[in-house]
Amino acid sequence: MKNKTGLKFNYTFLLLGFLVAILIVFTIAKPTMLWAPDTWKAMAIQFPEFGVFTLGVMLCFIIGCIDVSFVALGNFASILAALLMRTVTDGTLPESDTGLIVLLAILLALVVGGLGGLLNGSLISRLGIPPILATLATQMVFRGLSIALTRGDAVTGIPEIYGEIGHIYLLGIIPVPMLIFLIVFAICAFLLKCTTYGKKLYMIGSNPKAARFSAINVTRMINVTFVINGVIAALSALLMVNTYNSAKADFGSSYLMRCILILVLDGVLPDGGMGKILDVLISIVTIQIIASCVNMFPELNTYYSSLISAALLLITLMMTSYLFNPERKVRRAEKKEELPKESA
Amino acid sequence: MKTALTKKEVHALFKTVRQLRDRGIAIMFISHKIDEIFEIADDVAIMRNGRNVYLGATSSLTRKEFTYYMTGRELTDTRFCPENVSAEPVLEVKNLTLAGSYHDISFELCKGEILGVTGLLGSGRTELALSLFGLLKPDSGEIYLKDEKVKISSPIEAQKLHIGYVPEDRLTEGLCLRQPIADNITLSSLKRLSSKLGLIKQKDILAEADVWVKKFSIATDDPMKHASTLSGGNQQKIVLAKWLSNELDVLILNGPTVGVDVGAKQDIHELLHELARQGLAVIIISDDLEEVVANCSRVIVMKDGAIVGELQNEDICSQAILNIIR
Amino acid sequence: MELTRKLRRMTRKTEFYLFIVLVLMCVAIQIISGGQLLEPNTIVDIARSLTIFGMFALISLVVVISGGFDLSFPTLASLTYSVSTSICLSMGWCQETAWMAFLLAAVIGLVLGMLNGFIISRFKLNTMIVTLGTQTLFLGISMGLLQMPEITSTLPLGLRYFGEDSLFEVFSSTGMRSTMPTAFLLFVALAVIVWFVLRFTMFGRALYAIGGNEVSAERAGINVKRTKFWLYAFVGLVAGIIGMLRVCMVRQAIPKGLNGWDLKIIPAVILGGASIYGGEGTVFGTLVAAILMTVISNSLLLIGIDSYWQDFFNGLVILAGVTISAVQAKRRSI
Repeated sequence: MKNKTGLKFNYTFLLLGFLVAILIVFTIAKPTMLWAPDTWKAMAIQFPEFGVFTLGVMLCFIIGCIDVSFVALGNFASILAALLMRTVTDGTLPESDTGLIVLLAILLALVVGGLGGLLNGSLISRLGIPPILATLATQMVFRGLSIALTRGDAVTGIPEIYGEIGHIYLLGIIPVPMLIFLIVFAICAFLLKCTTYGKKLYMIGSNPKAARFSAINVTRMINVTFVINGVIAALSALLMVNTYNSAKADFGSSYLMRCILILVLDGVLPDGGMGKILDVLISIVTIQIIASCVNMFPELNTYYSSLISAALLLITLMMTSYLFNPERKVRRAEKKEELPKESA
Repeated sequence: MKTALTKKEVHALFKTVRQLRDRGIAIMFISHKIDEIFEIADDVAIMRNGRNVYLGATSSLTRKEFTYYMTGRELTDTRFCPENVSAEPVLEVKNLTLAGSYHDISFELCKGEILGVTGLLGSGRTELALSLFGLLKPDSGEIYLKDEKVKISSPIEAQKLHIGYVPEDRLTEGLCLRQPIADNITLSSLKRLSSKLGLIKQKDILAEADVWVKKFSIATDDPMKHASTLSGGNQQKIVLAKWLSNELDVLILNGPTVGVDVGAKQDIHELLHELARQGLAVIIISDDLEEVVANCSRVIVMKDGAIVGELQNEDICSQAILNIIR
Repeated sequence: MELTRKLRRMTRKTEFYLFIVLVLMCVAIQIISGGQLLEPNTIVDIARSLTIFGMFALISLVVVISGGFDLSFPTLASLTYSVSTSICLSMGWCQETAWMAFLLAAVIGLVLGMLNGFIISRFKLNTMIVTLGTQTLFLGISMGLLQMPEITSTLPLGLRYFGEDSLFEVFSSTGMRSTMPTAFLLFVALAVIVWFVLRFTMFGRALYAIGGNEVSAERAGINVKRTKFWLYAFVGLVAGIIGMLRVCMVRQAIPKGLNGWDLKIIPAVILGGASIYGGEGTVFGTLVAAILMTVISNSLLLIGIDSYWQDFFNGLVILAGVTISAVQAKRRSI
């Protein structure tokens, strides 16, 4: 049975296989470090940053639209939030309002993210601009605004309470970032599997023209998806603010490629209509483990993880292309025909 | 491949083919249109389900045998006889005009009728259909549904007005090939199958899909397989099912049996007869004159964007239509 | 009359309107900046910026015409020039002239380009995704595996001389000195070569065909695999040379020096009239677009806009450009 990734075998097992292989390799290399609880605690805090981004972009990919502006949008939203929060620490507003301002700032970031997403969605669905071009342009605009507002510097002066919330461990083991990731994951999984939104997402991604002919409101779907992506991107950027205790225009610059890599790695191609959220989760975890493990080797710098991820991606692409090659299937069918004749 | 050519072009093609044959070149002509095979081929090899079931001269083959070999069934030709035609028209089109495509189109359609719209390529038939479905806005004119003036601004509006459209090209306009059959069938009726909040259960989708698979005898063992695994005829059936899954007053079909094998063609025609008998108003746009003659109780002939002729019931025959076109 | 027919055909093309926009924009900037745009200094500075940007735009154009995207050229180029410069340093080459460095860059660029070409042509994959992968791969190799250092003051003299080599100098009214780099000639040469290949060679025609409809091109007898392979191989070669050129002009070889250029260049190519689906695009259009973007970048200061707003304005221009071309495409299809 062909599943959503269109392959005859279960792609999820392949990804799990990669994950297990990576774990085995690094267990042999650094058994104590890999399995120390501190390592996993650190990972639990790190991966939500790009993991949450990935989930948002995944929705856009499934509907068939590539988005390269999400990091820039997130940064822009978080910078605005940080600027608002700074008004408490630099004295413009009384300290007693800190809690309220922090809440407003978070809300502001999410709204800005949503609006930015709406911009993206409108450019694509109403003006008919190809997604790659629209998001390339908006990426420049968002980034440009961020740089103009901050003059390239980091926005500091984040109230302490923000960092405190971000470093709480629920039940002693689940850090807030991880909790947020799990919530976003649950929401996305729910949307994809149990709602008409999810069904329409895959169908539009597969063939937007046919969806339009089937009386589906493609314009609204694209807008909604990009708004969700924008809000999720802003959320993810807020997590980064938590980590670095500041907001900057070029935070997470490596995340753009990493998120797209993760999505492509598990078959969520920007052509649309494909991908399972479970696969995405596995890939996120895999990439995080690679990144963390690479950190354990002081001789290897962080770029090694990009190298390994990229190599993994290319190998996977080539493998799945080869296995899924229709020409090869025809040749195999011909071979099957020949065999019975020979035995006769 | 040859379904996109007009009759004139087909004749020209055949002439060239015969010339090539006379020059000694061996020609392999692939088609499922009975008329063409009988006209152009000296010998014919009929294949079904991947096997060669007949090999011989066309001269020693009757049409009935041809159909039998193609489908494995004995098929009978039934001409459509309208029953229960409503007195009041369900659809009225008055002076519909779209510059560059069609002008001054006026006609009525009653429940229980199958209206055929035919003409050469470029006669504006498809544009007219798209306008009735909300994809092409007409410049002027009026459309009345059940005596109420309506503006059909998008397919979503059309669906609300209980108009369905089976498009010309099922591969690019009708189906999401890499998605399951069940999802394709239920695509236009998601609202009905889901709860208020938009929640939908997989078993509801499968149940709905099963209904149509059984009703239309769609040849598949697993409705979760991709739509691309089906043959042309079965694919067309899913597109039909998708729209019939809704409550419809008017169903427009553009080239309903293009690229469809003879067996499925018969199935689809019988389906349409049955639907009309149950009170659906059907419009068939087709340039397959045989199809039009056998299935329509009324025919409108279009040429260069205008209606140049109308035929009713017994007057409908291929020759009469051709006369009007010329 | 023949002339009026030609004129009418011309006015329907995007490139024509783009050219008008360029002219109008120059006039506007000239007026707002009080005449600073057309000063010889500014023009020479713009030409200097244009050299590298324009050359990258030209090779990206060729790829876009074939229906693909090459997002890997910045890191391919930087890996190439890093390795090439390091080798020259350690072997003591390039003390007088820059030939060895360029030769090395060409060879390494060719090899890396062949990797792109192999993966893309052999496994029918989305070029954007493959080059995204190779982009990260090259970055990982240069910064991770090989750990290329930043070479600034130790740059071989030969490269420095070539970078300083100039055609002529101009002096502004305030005594500022601007030199027209010799490298600009290479830019012109590349533009001519690309124009020639696209217009008059079978290879160029094949690219348009593949970009238009790959299946049809294959059925028409074009060896799509081989064409694509050599396309990306040559793009790699030229990208390596361009990268080396940049090293000479900025007088340093920083491994991350070209990061982000892919996202700058592709919109410029599209602005110039190329279609992202392939099959369309001209050298003229790309050049006009490149000039337009360079002029805007360089003149923001002239009209008194903070340099921190540069990215934002570039973004707006791109946004306007893609909007217009999308609206135009819609009009054409109806």
